[in-house]
Amino acid sequence: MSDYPAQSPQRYLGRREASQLPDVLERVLDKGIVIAGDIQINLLDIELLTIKLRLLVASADKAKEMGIDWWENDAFLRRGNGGGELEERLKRLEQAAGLEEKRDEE
Amino acid sequence: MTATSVATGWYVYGVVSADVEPAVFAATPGVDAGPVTLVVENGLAAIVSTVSLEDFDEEALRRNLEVAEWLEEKARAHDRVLAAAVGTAPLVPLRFGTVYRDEERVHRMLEERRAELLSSLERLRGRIELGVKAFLDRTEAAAGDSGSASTGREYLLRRQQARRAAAETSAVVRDRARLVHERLASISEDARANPPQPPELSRRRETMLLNGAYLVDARREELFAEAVETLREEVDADGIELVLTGPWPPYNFVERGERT
Repeated sequence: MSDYPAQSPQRYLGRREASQLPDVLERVLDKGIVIAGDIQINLLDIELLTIKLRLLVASADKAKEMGIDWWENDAFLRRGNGGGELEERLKRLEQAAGLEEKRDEE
Repeated sequence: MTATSVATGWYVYGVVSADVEPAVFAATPGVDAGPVTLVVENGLAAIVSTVSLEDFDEEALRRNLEVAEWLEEKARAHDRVLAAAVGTAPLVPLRFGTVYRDEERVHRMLEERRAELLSSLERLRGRIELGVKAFLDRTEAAAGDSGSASTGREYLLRRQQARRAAAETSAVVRDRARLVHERLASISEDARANPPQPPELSRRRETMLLNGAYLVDARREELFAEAVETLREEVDADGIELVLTGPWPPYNFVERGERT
């Protein structure tokens, strides 16, 4: 009909791939209509997720001041590679605290 | 393991009017990689795909939400499915993670919420959601406090001046951002200013000043983009950068809460 312009809607899809993840998460998790399904994420889980993100951000700011960035390896915000994050975090903390001088790097 | 009846759920992405062309979803696999189909009930259609309850029952969902890669993949898939209908038919997006145990329950949901869904679809007909974010480029705003002070008093004075200047700058840029939002809202059918994303979420160093969502007549999308372009030139001197996103499914323009 005339409700929409005549171009192919598929043109939107290409642009979307570049969508920033936070923009997608913010909309998909936090907006949209909430209808009681047989199974659904309950609001509390969403709240917790948001709180977790906020806490993470708060500690990330402090960590950055200290020159460490463990959130890069946090299980939640981590992207890409898998295991070893605890070890990595420990190493960074040790380095930041000056406990680990030059165990594996010079 | 053995019970076949609990193996599959019906994941619902959103609701469209039943005259939507099912082919628009042909190219976009669902959250579980399977095909996306329509469950039609008296003029309304739920956009659905089947999912394994091993991944999508309540317990699994809670666990999976904590896994960044899983969440990213599924959230993007959810959005992609809905986006396929954007610009072709009015659409009510559901929040991520709504699953029914069988198709009959989806039919019943459409029936029970019929009046509300129909009125939402009518309100959203011919409209799309666009996003505009404004960022403050800090390097631009933080010019000023250079040079060294020779006395302690001079140092303190300078610190005070710098702080005052920074506060003024921030008042000015916040005003600008509000103006941007008001101007865009005035050419939209509806508008929301959401809380700005913190830097670690936005993955940008710059401070986000505006996180706006705008419900726009689909035929005026280009006009809106031109308005953003004009505003972009206007606020550039203040070190503000504008980012246009979308079109999105109208996530920001549906009722959020469960109503009975």
